[in-house]
Amino acid sequence: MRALLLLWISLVGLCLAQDAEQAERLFNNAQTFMSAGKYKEALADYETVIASFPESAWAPKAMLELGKYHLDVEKNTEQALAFFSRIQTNHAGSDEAPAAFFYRAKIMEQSGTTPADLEAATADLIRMANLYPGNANMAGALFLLGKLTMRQGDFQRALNYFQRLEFGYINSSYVPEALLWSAKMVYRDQGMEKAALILSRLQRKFPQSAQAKMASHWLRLMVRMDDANYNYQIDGTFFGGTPKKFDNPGAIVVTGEGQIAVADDNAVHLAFVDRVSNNTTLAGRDVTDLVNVDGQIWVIYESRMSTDSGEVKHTNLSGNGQSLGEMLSVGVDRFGRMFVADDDVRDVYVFSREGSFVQAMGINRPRLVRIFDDLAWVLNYDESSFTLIDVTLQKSGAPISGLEDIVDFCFDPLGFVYVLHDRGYGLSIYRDNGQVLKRINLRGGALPLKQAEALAVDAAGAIYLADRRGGAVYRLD
Amino acid sequence: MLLFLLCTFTFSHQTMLLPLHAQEIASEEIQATVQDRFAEAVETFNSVERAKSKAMFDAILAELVSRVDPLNDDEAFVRVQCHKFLAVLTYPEETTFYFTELLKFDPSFQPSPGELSPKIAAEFQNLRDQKVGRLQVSVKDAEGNFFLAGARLIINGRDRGLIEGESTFSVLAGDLQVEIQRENYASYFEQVSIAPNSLVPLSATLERNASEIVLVTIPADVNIAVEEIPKGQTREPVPTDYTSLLSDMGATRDEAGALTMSGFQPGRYRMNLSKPCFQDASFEFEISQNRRLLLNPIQLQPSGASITVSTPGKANGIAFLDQERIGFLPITAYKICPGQYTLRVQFSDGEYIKQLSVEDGQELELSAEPLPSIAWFGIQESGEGLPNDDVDQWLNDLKLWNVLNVNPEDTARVASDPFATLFAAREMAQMDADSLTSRLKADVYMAARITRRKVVIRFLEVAIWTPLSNRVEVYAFDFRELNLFKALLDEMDQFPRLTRPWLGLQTGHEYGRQGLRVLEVHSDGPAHGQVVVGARVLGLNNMPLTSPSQLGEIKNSAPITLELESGNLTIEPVETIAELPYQPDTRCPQTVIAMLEKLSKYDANPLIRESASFNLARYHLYMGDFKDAFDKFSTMTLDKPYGISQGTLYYYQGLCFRKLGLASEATAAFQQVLGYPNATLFSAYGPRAAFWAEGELNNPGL
Repeated sequence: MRALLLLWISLVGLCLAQDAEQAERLFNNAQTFMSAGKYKEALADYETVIASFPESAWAPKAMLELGKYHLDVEKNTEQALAFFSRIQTNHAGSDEAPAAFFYRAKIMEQSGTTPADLEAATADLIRMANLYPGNANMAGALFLLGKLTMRQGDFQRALNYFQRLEFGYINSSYVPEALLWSAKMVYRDQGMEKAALILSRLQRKFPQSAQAKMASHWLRLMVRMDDANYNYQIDGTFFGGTPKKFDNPGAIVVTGEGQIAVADDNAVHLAFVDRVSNNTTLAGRDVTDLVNVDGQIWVIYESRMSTDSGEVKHTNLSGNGQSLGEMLSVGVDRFGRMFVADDDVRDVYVFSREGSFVQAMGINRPRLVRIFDDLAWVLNYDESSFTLIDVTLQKSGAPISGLEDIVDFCFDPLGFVYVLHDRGYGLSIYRDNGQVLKRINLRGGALPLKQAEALAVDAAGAIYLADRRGGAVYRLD
Repeated sequence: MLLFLLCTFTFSHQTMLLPLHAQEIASEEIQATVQDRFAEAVETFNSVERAKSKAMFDAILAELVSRVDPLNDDEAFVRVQCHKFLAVLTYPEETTFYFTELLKFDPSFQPSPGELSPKIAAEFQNLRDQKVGRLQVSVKDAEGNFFLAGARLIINGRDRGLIEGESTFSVLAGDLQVEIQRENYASYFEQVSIAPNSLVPLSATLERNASEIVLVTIPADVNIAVEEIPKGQTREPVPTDYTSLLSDMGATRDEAGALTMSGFQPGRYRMNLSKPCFQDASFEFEISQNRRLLLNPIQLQPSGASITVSTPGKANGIAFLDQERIGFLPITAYKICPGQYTLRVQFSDGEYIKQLSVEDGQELELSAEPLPSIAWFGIQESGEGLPNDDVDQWLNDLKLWNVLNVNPEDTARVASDPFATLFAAREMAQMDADSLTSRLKADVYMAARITRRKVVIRFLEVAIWTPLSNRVEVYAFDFRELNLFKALLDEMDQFPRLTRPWLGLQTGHEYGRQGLRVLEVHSDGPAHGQVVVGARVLGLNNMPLTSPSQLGEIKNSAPITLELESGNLTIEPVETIAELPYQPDTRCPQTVIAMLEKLSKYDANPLIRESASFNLARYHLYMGDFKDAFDKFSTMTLDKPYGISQGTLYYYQGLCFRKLGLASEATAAFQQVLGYPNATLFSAYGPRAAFWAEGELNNPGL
């Protein structure tokens, strides 16, 4: 009897070992297919592993691979979330569980629509760090935690997460970006001296990174803002400074990567600010606004928002039973929410990332919307005051006042506010608390422009003024 | 007689104890056996059981007679004595036979008075008179007609000894084939008939066919090579011909040595002379015709060097030069001869080994520190096949480590299966640790085995452990990427970079601006007072600057030239402590801490010792040995006004406390950091520890 029992146990053990081996073979096949770009075959093998060997250690591995595939290749966050959630629920003790937590939080950070989503993602990551200390995804988790808490406005805590990332994972690819964000937070809280040292560290440790390049822009901006006597000069080398180069330019935007878009009566012109050629042109008339959405330029025209590559993002948005047919200005926050000032509805309407109506803000005949760090600034109908809309869509007044005939305004990457006022003859720079840093008279003849109608500012703090009447865009450096 | 025999044997045993190479030792063992047996036979002969000795002598004699190779002097003596004893033992029946055999072997044998009984002695003498005659041989040079010493007499193919100009030999009567041989001369042959009890003279004249060279050196015992072929040492007595020449050189014959070299044909030759502690010499000489050539004496000039060995720590070390023990450290100006040596310093916790090439007049000063050791158990056989690469050799090629190749089955050194122990778990159990270290003291223990992954792919798994931590690191290398293991070993074999030069400047690059902007000038740094915040640094040593990383690439403390807008400035960077990155994938933490432990005790540079101690503590922290890390951080001091210093230590203590779950102690430590505003993390260029400590104080939890 005992011999039979032992035989049975050994047969069961043998079967389990054979199962694990078969699951491993399938998983390896799937990996090979995935590397070769044969997604269909790879997905089939992963699915077989999950369906046929649900209890094996290879099932959560296959789920993780499928989740990453849907996230990175298909851009289908819902499908990805489903796989990561299955790992969390059914395979919490597996090696893949921390990664599932991490990817879930990453998706929440990228596609969450409310502050509550950020809080949930933060809580998820903290749970992951407590459950699986020292896991392989800790560097990414610390970075995400820093980013999430930064977005929630808790700079001290965010800074601490980034420091822990730098301390424990100095060679992680997340560190350069964490240093950049750290510098920004320290600059806003403690000023230039300490922030500049962080940028210096970023340049020294990661000299070839894109973030180091951005650091040199920001350092230029900080130095510029730190110098009360700084004088902006016309940059004679900038390609847009030739009169009649453009046909009544009326909107302008510059991305962090240095791409500039100028909308005139006939088209949208795209170029890089530090190059003089390779300009491209998009057909488009009567463009009312240009928006920088995560480095991508959106063109706003009547009822349509499209990208600089021609892709239509949204059209005929509507809410409260009304369609938006005369969009004047659009701002997009980090939740992907669109704040639209429209002349048909004569209000600012808020829409979700997908275009669903969220809320009418009740601001009468708004002129412009601009967003910095999830705070929407709306230029009121009087063209001299602003209404602020915070992340919870609560309204308040802005600290900047006393200006007349504001025609445009914008922000630099550190949050300084640049306002074009007096019908385009005056330019003022403010801290976001309302403190005036600089006033520049554009009328006095010192500058070649006739009347500025739009402005933009790049990552290094250079100002771009669109001169509608003169047909040029000038760069003040 | 017995006394005589015993004396003979004492001499033989002494001979046997002389250092000989293996083949000679084997030969000595056979000799000893023959002689031991002979001594035993003599003892039996002198006992009441004398009759038994006959068989013993017979056996020995049979063995010696059958020997193909010529007998040496001792064996020849034993053979003669065996004949003699057997002649006595078999008296009267076989006495004549044995004495006849004796005289055939050695016609010159003559018993000592009283050695034989009168009857037997008379019989021997009678037989000798019937069998033996005498040959009187004189040898002369054909050209010079002078007597030649050193010729050998060969009779019937058997060497009968040296002829010193003129000599007389007892020989067996009859017709004899005589040959006379001497170096540098053609051999002489003659047929001679000798009647019993008669004297026959033989005059031989030899024709020279080669030259002999006599060289005298001051001092003696100089190694001589001709045309790079070793000829021996100048150890012979100096011929009297040289007395006046030596006197002219201020030397005596006792201070000199000679070497006679034979077999030279006319021609030109180069001779090289060498002797330890003397300068080498060489010269050329020419032989126009065959003769005895006396070269002028050569005097070698003395040479010398000295070696001083110390150790920076407080360790006691015993120094050996090659195999010679030269004393305890410190060794001061120890005189040695120029040449190649292996210096080995044995410390209680390791060895320092260095190959030295010492030149004439050199005063070599060395700082010795024990190198860490690795006990390498090799790759466990598992039937999976071994890698093509010679992994053992990779280990043995390590230069900064003493590698002990340990047979895992050697129970004298290994108490239990090291593979099972090292691969059992990632944390070494105390019992296993004791088992590994009980018989084998090493700084690192390493073993490898072969496994299969993804069903078919072979991997080499390498487990590495050091008694300094209970963490075991296991690396797995795909057989197709074993170069990664080689890279790991190469990394181990580099001294870690523990210090960095520092300018005391922080700079940043502004977009659109040339050079770098000075963001901070440290009040205790080398640039203080020479550069101001806001200045622009355009170049470094004539190279344009575009990134602060370029200043971090300065390799040493040599002065550098900074090109400022206001002009050039020369600054001497200062060496500062730097953190060694913790990268377990490419730099094995276990080997790093073993190396750091040695450097912290023994490196000559106090800054490197401090940095090694600091980094050793850091590595313990990263490895999860929080208590060890805390103990180390809290027992060291880094009293410096910049860079990694006391505030840094408090910061790390705070981290240790936090890891140990001691929140209030962590807070206290982080608060201590605030008192050191200039202390930094990572390096002197790194962030201020106080700034980071504030972050930790504000956010105590994750």
